[in-house]
Amino acid sequence: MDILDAIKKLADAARDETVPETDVAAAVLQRVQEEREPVILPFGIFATASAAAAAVMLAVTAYSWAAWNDPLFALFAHLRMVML
Amino acid sequence: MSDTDRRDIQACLDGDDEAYARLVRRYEPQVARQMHRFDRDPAVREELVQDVFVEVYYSLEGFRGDAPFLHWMRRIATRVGYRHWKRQSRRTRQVPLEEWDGVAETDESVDPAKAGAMLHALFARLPPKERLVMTLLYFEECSTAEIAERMGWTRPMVKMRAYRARNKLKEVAEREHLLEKLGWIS
Repeated sequence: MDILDAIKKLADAARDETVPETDVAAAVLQRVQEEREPVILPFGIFATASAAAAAVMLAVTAYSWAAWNDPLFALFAHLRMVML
Repeated sequence: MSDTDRRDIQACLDGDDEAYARLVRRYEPQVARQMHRFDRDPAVREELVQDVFVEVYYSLEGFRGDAPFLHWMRRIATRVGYRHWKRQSRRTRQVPLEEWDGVAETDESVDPAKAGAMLHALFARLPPKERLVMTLLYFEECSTAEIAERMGWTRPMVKMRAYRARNKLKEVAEREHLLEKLGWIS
């Protein structure tokens, strides 16, 4: 008997093999949902952090704008007095 | 493609996860059977079946519906299994053929489970590409054209791999006196 004939006979027999059942539907859905979430979650965290940073910057800017002064004002203040 | 499949695929694309669960349950036995050819360890097989359905889920938009859904899924399953073998071959895991001596007790008929295990062990001696060709040819009775279509290879390439695989198996058989161990089959 040739090895290829033996392989053919083994394969014919193996095709009748009973394969134990699996139940993967729940696990598949869980994996799909988990793989979907990581894309959304970091994006949400990033958006929240950006909004918080923007709010802080806005507060600092508003405060600075209110207290804004010409840095050269003190230098030229005396000259102005002389000119007057 | 059946109307049920078409409806469930469309519902799934519209975001209905339960529709996908129905598709999984419908085709799980066929996919599990196919993945059994790639790994006989029940835990690994279950993992592979999951991998197939996760990959099918993400590829669903590309399914045109001009072939049966199962046919399309089998292509993905074949690639998932082939990737598994490629990863495995780096670890060079092999089932020792000496274990075959124990199967000679069945003289009249060949036990399907043992026959499957023996072929699995024998084909595991081949590099992944040749192993895949032999598995599809013998276990799934695919034609060379079908194998070429599933894997995106040319038909002459498949024939060449089958030729090389058969020669290597003949060498293994001679070296390890497999025909003596398999004599009871004839």
